[in-house]
Amino acid sequence: MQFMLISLKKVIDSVGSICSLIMILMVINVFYNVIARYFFNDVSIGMQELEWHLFAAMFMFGIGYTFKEDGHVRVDIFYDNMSEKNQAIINIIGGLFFALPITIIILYYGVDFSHEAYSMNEDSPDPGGLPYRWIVRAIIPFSSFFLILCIVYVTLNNFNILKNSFKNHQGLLK
Amino acid sequence: MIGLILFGIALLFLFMGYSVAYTFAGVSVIVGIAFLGLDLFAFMPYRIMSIMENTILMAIPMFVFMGIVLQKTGLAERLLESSAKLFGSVSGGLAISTILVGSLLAASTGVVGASVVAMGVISLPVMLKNNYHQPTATGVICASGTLGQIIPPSIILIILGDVMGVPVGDLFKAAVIPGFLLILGYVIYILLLGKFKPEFCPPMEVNENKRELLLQALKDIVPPLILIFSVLGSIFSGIATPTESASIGAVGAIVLSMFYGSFSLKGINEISLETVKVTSMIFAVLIGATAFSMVFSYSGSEYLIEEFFLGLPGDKWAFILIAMAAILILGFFIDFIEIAFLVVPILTPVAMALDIDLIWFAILISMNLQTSFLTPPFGFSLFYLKGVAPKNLKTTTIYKGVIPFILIQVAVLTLVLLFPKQLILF
Repeated sequence: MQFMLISLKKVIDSVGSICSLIMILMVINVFYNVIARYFFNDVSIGMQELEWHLFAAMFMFGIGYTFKEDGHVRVDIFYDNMSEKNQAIINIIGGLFFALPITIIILYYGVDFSHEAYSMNEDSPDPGGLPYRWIVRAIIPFSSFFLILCIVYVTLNNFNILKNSFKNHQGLLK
Repeated sequence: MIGLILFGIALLFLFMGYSVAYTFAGVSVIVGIAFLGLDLFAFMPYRIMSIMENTILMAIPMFVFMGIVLQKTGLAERLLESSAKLFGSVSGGLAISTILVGSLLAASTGVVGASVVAMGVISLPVMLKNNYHQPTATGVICASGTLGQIIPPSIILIILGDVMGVPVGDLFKAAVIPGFLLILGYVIYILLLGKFKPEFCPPMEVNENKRELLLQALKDIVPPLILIFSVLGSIFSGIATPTESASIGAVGAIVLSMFYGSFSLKGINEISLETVKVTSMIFAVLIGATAFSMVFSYSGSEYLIEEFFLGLPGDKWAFILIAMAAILILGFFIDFIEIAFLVVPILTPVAMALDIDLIWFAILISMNLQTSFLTPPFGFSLFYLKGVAPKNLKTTTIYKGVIPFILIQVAVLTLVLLFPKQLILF
């Protein structure tokens, strides 16, 4: 169990690092296009499409990583003053009943969505655009699958917190 | 009706403290499946794909990146220290330098929390050490920290531009005069205070050479100013789109950090990871809001809202007042991102039906949100400052301190309400 948690954490963190790399590549990509366009009058549709391909991959996979890092905004007026145990309970309930269902739905319909592009061999509608549109469409199901991994990780972690708080409680009683 | 019930339930669940994005998405899924069927959500991937392809929203991560770079290079600290020394020797000088630095930070980072915290850590101790009236010192910091909401390139204006379907560049332009009026209002207030209540904001003793101070201040102020002017200038002159100029800003910020000698590959990696987190947080809310708005509009609630507002007496003013009051109150509890993605799409069609100028409406919304960030007891800005202020500083002191600034905000907001043509540039 602990081993599984540690390896999950490693996987999620490395995806996070890849997102951070993609973010830098995206800045370079957009900046390069600006320079190429204004100084060399050189417009490449493919390079322009690459901008949003990177953008999409960065935030779609970043959502899972941010989930693990507990970076999603909360209304924390009450949450901040709760005990660790109650916070864990809220995170478990929220993860299983709020975050998981929508992610499974997006994964389920996302598979069809990208498979459709694959079977039609869809390319960019613009001349000079990037081929294989299914790759960028596949970001949706793949990132959803990744998010499910993150939800599982966070939920298991919160179960651990809960377990420990019960143990401590019993320890205090003795 | 289902849509309204959905909105109510989701709001209630928000207070449980689970992440806003997934609370909205989760409640929408449960209500959606229960009343409308699962098939409704088959469109989710298409809606997500259109977010992925959205090149306007692409400006957000790059402006966030630029802001975090400037924050990590210690720009705020430098600016505050040198301008405090420069203006500190006059009555109210410290407060005015805080306001000016706050507006500069707002223009370069656009993030409320960051500038309030930076100024709370650096400016507040200096002001308190100089026997500043405590409420005034805290009020200045909270108020100038919220300027990031309105002064371009603010993230909220980019989001509003996308949600309301108006050009982001036009919104940036329209925000210039109202933002400037706010800064002017703050400065005038402090000048008056310095004249009539000099004991509230006493001058600081500065022993250093004036000339050297001026040179140091120029060295600290000019580079970020050049960056801000080149980013905004390229947008306003129509040379570059906001997204393009955001990339110029991001690269420019890195060049600046090299100039200040605080550049490192490891640092860039950390900044980038931080940017990924902030961006993903914003886009998760957008995806959650998408699920919500699908259920909301599929159940026909949009028409209910529109009918309600169109049936009100008093033309567009009743609508504007109710909309502003609702946003102000919601702004106490939830962040601007949620309001922009959830509430504004509901209000926009009504505003269009009433023939309200959307750019003007967007500026009203963002100024209103800014005011709600400042208003006790829940304003975000107050919490951020409380977090970094000395322990013996009371919350009520901060509450007292922001009141004059809230009044200035309301005055400027009223001006923009009454004189849309004169105060908004096109």
